[in-house]
Order: sequence, then C-alpha cells, then structure tokens
Amino acid sequence: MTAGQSNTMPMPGHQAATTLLDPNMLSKISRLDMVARQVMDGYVQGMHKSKHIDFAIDFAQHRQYVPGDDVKRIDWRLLAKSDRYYIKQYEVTTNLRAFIILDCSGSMAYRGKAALSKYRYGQFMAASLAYLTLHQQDSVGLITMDNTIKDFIPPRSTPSHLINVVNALEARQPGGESSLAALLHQVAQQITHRGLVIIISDFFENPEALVSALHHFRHQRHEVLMLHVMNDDELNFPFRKWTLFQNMELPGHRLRLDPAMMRRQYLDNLRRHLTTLRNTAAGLNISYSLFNTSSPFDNALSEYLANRMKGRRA
Amino acid sequence: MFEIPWMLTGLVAIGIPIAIHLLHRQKTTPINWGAMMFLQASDVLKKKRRNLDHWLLLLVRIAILLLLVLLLAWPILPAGAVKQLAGGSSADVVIVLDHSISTGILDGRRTVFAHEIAAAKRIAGKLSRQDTLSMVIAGHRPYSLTQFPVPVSDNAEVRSKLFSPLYQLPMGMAGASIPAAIQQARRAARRGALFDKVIFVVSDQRVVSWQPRHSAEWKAAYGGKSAGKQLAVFDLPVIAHSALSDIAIGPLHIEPLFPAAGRRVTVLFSVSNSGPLSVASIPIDLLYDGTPMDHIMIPRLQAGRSTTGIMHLRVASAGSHWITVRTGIQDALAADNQSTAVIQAWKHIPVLIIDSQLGAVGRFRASRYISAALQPSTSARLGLAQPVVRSVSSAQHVPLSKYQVVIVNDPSTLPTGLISRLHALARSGKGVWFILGRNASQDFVNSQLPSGGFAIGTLGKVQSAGKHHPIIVIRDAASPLLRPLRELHRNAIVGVTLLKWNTLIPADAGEKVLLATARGAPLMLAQSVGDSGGQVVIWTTGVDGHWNDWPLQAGSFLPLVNQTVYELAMGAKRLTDRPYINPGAPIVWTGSDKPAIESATILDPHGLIHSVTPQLITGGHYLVTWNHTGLPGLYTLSFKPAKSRANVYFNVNINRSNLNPATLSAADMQWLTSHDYIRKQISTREIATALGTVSRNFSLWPILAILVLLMLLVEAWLCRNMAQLIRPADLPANELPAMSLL
Repeated sequence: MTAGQSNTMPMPGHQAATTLLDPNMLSKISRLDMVARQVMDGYVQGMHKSKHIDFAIDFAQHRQYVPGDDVKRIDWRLLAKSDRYYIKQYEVTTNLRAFIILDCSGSMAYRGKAALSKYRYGQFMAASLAYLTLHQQDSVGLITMDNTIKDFIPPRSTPSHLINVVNALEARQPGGESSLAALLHQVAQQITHRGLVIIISDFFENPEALVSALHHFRHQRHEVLMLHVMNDDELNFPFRKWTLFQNMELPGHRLRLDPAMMRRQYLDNLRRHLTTLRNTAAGLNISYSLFNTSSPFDNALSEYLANRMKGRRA
Repeated sequence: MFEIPWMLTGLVAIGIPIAIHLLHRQKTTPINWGAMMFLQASDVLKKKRRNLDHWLLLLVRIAILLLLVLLLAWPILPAGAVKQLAGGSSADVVIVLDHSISTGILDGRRTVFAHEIAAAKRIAGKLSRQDTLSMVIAGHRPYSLTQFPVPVSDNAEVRSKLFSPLYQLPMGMAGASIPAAIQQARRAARRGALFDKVIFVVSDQRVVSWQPRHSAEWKAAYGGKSAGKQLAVFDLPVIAHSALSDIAIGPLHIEPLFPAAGRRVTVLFSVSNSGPLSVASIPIDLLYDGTPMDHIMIPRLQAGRSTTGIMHLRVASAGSHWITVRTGIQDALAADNQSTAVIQAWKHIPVLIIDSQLGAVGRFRASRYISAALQPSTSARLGLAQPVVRSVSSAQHVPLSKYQVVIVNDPSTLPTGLISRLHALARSGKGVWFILGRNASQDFVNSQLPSGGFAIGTLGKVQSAGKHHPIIVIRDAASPLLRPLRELHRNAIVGVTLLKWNTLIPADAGEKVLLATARGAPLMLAQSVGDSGGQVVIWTTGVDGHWNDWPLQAGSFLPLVNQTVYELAMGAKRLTDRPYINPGAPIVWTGSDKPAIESATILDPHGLIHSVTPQLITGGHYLVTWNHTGLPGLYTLSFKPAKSRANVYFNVNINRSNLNPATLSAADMQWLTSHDYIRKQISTREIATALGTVSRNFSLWPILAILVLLMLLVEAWLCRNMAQLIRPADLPANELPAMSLL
C-alpha cells in the first residue's frame, strides 16, 4: 500500500475502524511488514518462513543423497560437475497466524496527563497491528482479558476480518482486576498452531507467574512480542503532595501517602519489576518493548516495526 | 498551687503549635492508580508512621509549652500533700556559725565558738532524714564548708565534712559580717534541690557583726529582696558570760621610725585590762623575728586600766623584720594578747651632695656642715646616711640612681640635663633637697629649674633680718620632717640666728610650707613629685654659715638634717613599708629589678602559701601586690631565688573595733524582723518549733525541668527522624529504568 492509498483506507463507512485506524498512522506503518522472526507453521504460502523445507520455490541448501531419497530431487547438474550425489532442498514460506492479546484490566484505564490512556494506546496498537497483519495477507486474531477472557476472535486473513477486530476493540472498556498470567496459560492451551502472540499490557502482575505463562507460550513454539505500555506518571512517579491512591482494579483499596517520601522506594520496586521482565524476555527469546504513552503512538509503533525489520534483515 | 499563678496565662501559647500544625497540614489529592503493586505494604507503614510522627511531634511540642508555662508559674505541692505522698517533708538547712574574733572569748572552760558548735549539733539533731545540711563559717570572709549540701541521713558524712573541720579551725582573729554570711548561706541553700530553705545564724549577737540598720548590707544579703516564703532565717544567740580579766596589748610604736642595722630600737605599747577583774602581774615578752629579746613584768593592773610598756632591742641586720610583744597570761580573749609590728631596717642611705663649687678643685667648703651633720666621722662611717660630695661639673657624670637622696647645695646654676635627671629621680620615689643660699639666682630658680621639671616657686629678693632676728615658727606640725624639732622644742627653733634668706613664693597649693618666719616668709618647704613617693624639700637659707648659725646648733640641726634625709630616702618605701596594714588593705611591695626575681610567694597567718607574680614596672622596679589580707597576722613575702633577696614581712593587726562588746538590742532585732531579714530569734529549745513553722512545701520545679529536658530530647529525635524521611528521594537520571523505552 502507498501513502496515497492510505487516505482512503481501510474500511470506508465504518465508524469504529476510522477511529482506531488513523490513515496518517497507517500510511507510516503500511510499508513495514509485520514479519515473524521465527519460523511459522502455516498452510497458506506467505512471506514467512515455514518449518517445512521441501517442495517450495526458494532454494535453501544441498544435502548429500542417501538411499531412500527421491531420485527426482537429485541435482543432476552438480552430479555432472562433481560426480557426487546431492539433493536440493527448498524453503517453504507460509502465512502468519497472529494473536493480539490486549489487557483490559482496570489499571489500563490510567491516563494521567498523557493524551491517551494506556488502554486506548493499546487499542490503537492492536488495531494497527491487526491492520498490518491483514494487509500482508496474514491472519490475525484478538483476545481481550481482565480477570477473564472477554473476547476471543480467532485468526482470519480476510480483509473484512479487520472490522470484527476493530469492533471488538471499541466495544471493550477497561475494568476489573487483572489475572493476566493465569489467562495467558489458558490462551496458550487454546492456541494449538504455532504463531505470533502479541501481548499488549501494563504487566502489573506478579513477575513469577508471568514468567511461567510466557514459558508456556514459548513451549508451544509461539513467537511472543511483549508490548509493555506504561504511563509517564507510572514511570517517574512525579507526585509531590499528599495523595490518596485509589486502586483502579480493586474498588475500596486505597492508600493515603506522601509521594515524595515514597518515590525512591516506588522507583526501586518498578526498576526491579522491569528488570525482571526484560531479563525474562531475553532469556525466552521474547521481544520486549516498553512504550510510554506520553510519546506519540504512531511514532513509537513505526519505530518499533522499523527495528523489527532491521532485525529481520540482520 | 502556683507561686506565680499569672504565668498560667502563657497557656494560650499552646495554640501556636496547633495552629502551625493545622496550617501546614497538606491537602490530600485523590487519584485513581493502577501501579499499586509498587507501593509496598512496609513502605506504606513507614509513611503512616511519619504521619503518626507528625501528631506525636505536635503533642510533644504542646507538652513542652505546657511544662514551660508550669515551670514559670512555680508549681508546688502543699505540705499536706507531700506528706501523704512521701511520708514526710524536707528542707535545705544551712547553719551560719559566727567565727569573728569575739567568739574566741572564753565562757567558762569553752570559747563562745565551742558553744556555737554545740548549738549547731542540736540543730542537726532536730532535722529530719530527708533534710540536707550545709555549714557557713562567718569569718573575715564567709565560706561554705562543703560545695554541696550534705544529706542529714548520712551521719558519717555530716560528721566528717561538717563538724570535724570545725574543731580544726584556728581562733577567729577578724571581724565577721552576718549579712555577708547569710548571702553565702543563701547560695549554699540554692545548691540544694529541696524547695524550702532554712538558715540558722548561730552567733554571739555582736552589733559590729550583725550591722543592724545597715540597709545596704542587708539588701545585698537578700539580693535586694526580703527572705520570702521559701527562706526562713532564724537567729540563735550564744551569749558569752565571761568573768575573766581581758588583757590587751595595743599597737606597737617603734622609735626611731627608720631603724638602721646595728642600732637600738625602742618599742612602746599600751597594756590594758578590759575585764572585770584586776591582774596581779603581767609578764611581757619581746620577740624579734620570733626570737625572745626582752622581758618585762608589768605590776598589778586594775580592771579598766591601762599602762604603757617600753622595751628595747638592737636591730641585727638590714632588711625586713617583725617585732612581737605578747603576754602569756590566761584571760578571756587570747587574740588580743599580742601585737606585732614590722620594721624595715636600713643598712645605710647613700646621699649625693652637689656642692656650689663648679669644678672639682677645692674643698667643698659650702657643704662641710651638712656633710658633717650626716656623717660626723668620715673614717668610722657611723652615720646611717653616707654622703658623697661632688662639684656641679662632676655631678653630670654621676649615676644618680645609686643615691637615695640628692642634696643640691646652693649652686648658682645646674646643667639642664642634670636638672631633668634629678626630676626623674624624684619621680621614681627618691628625694631631692634644694638649699637656696647666697648663690641662688632668680634665673636658676625661676627659669632653669622649671625647664627641667621642678616648679618649686618663684624666687624673689634676698631678705635680711635687720636689727631683730626673726622668730622661726613651725607651719606644719604634722610633717614628719619636723619631728625632731617638734619633739625637742615643741613649737619652734629656739635660739637660732637667721640673718638672710631668699624670698620664695610657693608654686601651688601642693607645696607645703613647713618652717617660716613669724611674718610668713617660707624657710622650709616640701612638695611631692609623681606618684611613687618622691619628695622635694626646699630650704630658702643656706647652710654654709654665712646667712645663719643653724649648722652650729647641733641640738636641732643634726636631727633636722638627718630626719630630712631619712624622709626623703624613704620615698616609695613610705607607701609600702609600714609597721601595720589594716585588714583588707593590700600588701604592696616594690624593689629593684636587680637581681631578677623568678617567682614570689606569700605565706599567710594560717600557714597557706599563695603564689604572686612580681610585675616589672616602669623605672626598673618590681611590683608585688596582694589583696587578701582580711585575716590578721603576719604575712611573709618570699622570693625565688631565695638567696637574692631576704623575706619581707607585712603585718595585719586585729581590728579592735570588732571587739566592741555591744550586742543586739530589742530594737535592733525589731528592725531585723520587721524588714523580714530575720524571721525570729529562737533559743536552742525552740529549734524544732522553728523548723515546724517552715512551709516545707514540695517544689515540682526540678521534676518539671527534667520533663522539659526529656521532651526536648524527644522532640529533637522526632525532628531528626522526620528530617531523614523528608530528605529528597529523587533518583539520578541514570537510575531510571534502562529499558527499550519507546
């Protein structure tokens, strides 16, 4: 898709889609393919590597012939040159099955002084990534969850599927307590085929439980992207006056504090949490990225995708 | 109960910390927050504790203000409440013991002071075990036996620190001031922690010690106030009833006043009997530097009579000596049974005579009479004064500091430099004697001498006697210079012939005319120079035999010349070397700076040694001063190195006015009680009753003061804690989460 086309994209006449899918933003990311860095297991031939190296078009490597191999696959030209038997192997490209998991717990509703709340930020990311995935002929599904799985839209690759995804995103409002780790386990069991799992959340969860859930995904051979969305207030804790902190996930739970006194401790706790997540992600070969809602969403997403493209080329 | 209840109005100050707290309370901002997991429970507790600390701090500050207001209001617990609480009451008790000279009087077998000690023991016996006891000795300088009050419950301590030292005290020799002793007793009582203070004054009621109607003394004793409710002062009299005679030796008179080494000295003194009985015989001993030198026996002395004793001794050596006359008789008061005087014996007096002869060639005829008067035999050198005669020209090169006296014998002129040196000599405390005879010129007296510093007067014309020789009269009978004339002839120089004399108009009122003609023409004048005791004597008639026949009148001329030289020689020593000094007057000693003095000490009559520092003063002299001479007796000034100088003695006589037998009258006591200086005069039987009348309330002041201190410590601790919590918690930028922040 070109920049000129993006002005009319993607689904004219649909209100929800036009709200979440900003044409300007889409024009930035449409040139950036949502490439799975990992080998995908799909049925439809696409732009992603398949685990099957056999009968497709792209040459992969030579392998020495062993008895039992189909003689049709012997490279006769190489035999003529070297008088040795080799067979040709090809790399099969397959289409991507992406699951976007959006955390819609109460804490995601925090907005602070930013233009968007964390949830709205996540909605935009989910919609954009869904659009991008469908745009490159891959299939995309959506899962929203707080303490239960609220929406489960199976992956489809049809263009009209974007409407379903966007409508589901718009319809869902944040609220309730987060049970991200437990629900990720549940999702990991439900997704049987290897695919790309994009988790958009503030990850206010016990890190140990979260690590266990991410292990589960990796055990299922999914590629996992952790898109950590946080507000600037949560990252810097800039409060100075006495504040009554009311828990957004647990009504009635409140703490009256002097934030100036708490700031060092808070930031220590936060740094430990983020370090745990980053180290866990690195250990499980999971892509982890932290997004600050104070930075413009389109710039952040396009930069992220550009980084992924660089990683693919590398 | 509060002593100063209006101070409680200060309680409104409690509103200040409350208002500050309320004004500074921070308004809480509610916020919906997701990242609650980072606000850990322990931290929250800490923050809540800080909130609690705020309230605690407020409470502590309110408590501090409350306690301070209560402190200022002087809260007390009434006696009844105290007894209920503590099972008794207590007071800081101070006993003032009169230790004046009169307390040494024997009353029966014991002195009055011993009776006072017995009374003090009775007081101590009546005190409760919660009380404390101090003892103040009212001597020449009141002092407390202990630095802090001794608990009565500690019997051993009371005995060893309060009563045993009393038996070691030497006999009182000086007067005492009861008001000053009460002032000291108040200080001693203040060192006690108990609220009620009781002072017992045990004395022989002598008026001279009590000083009734001396408002200034008594106001000073109480710091300008009355005794107040908390301080009760009781008078416990111990009156002496002595039936013994009382022999007293009066002050000693030494003749001559300026004794010389090897010469005879006469000691005159009075012996009086002030007791009710006559004494059959009184043995008297004379001691010279502690060695018995003479002994006489005074026959029967009636009660109330006195007689004069005369004793003799020969001064062994030059320097400072002390002479004591004493009687060993047993009488009512031993303190006045002896009297001491200090003498400064000369070895010789160097005298320089500047003759009118201008050059050294000649026989100095003009000075032969005066030289002979000072030293009759040039070979034997018998005279105390040892004159050296020099001409005007050779005198310029003589070091004047070697001489005590310089006689300027009728020169027509003197070099200006020499006049200035003579003036400097007089300022340093030595003597200069101008004899203005036939050579004296108006230019010399009116111009040269003033330009050199001497302003002895204005010289006029020479007067002649004419047919009738003028009568010479004494104009200043008190002058020590005329002592020989006064004693020999009482009123004038009889039988002398005066032919001529110079007219001299005295310079100012400071210049005294000692001898003059009957018509008022000054013949002998004296004036002081500087502050060191230097003197200038002027004679307006010569002594060369041309203008008068004085030198031939050996009966008056010799003593007059010698007396003049002695007086001039005394100079600075006149101010310091006195046979007695009054109690409290300073000891002052000056001496040459050679040989050098390393250090000096003063031995007082109690045998205590005090270090004093000799100071070098202008004019090449050492100066030693010592002010603590309240105790009568002999003070010995010693120097280091000891061989360089002999000891110098100073004597402080007893003040006989302190023996005035008058005791406090009823009117005196009325004055003391009406001014609240004394609560009551009591007998030894009334001690317990007196103690019972004391309010004996219990002061809460010390407890509150301790509480305030504790509260201040708690407040400081809380503030420190909060300051630690409030310390900025901003993290450096490089400590912020180092993530792939997008």
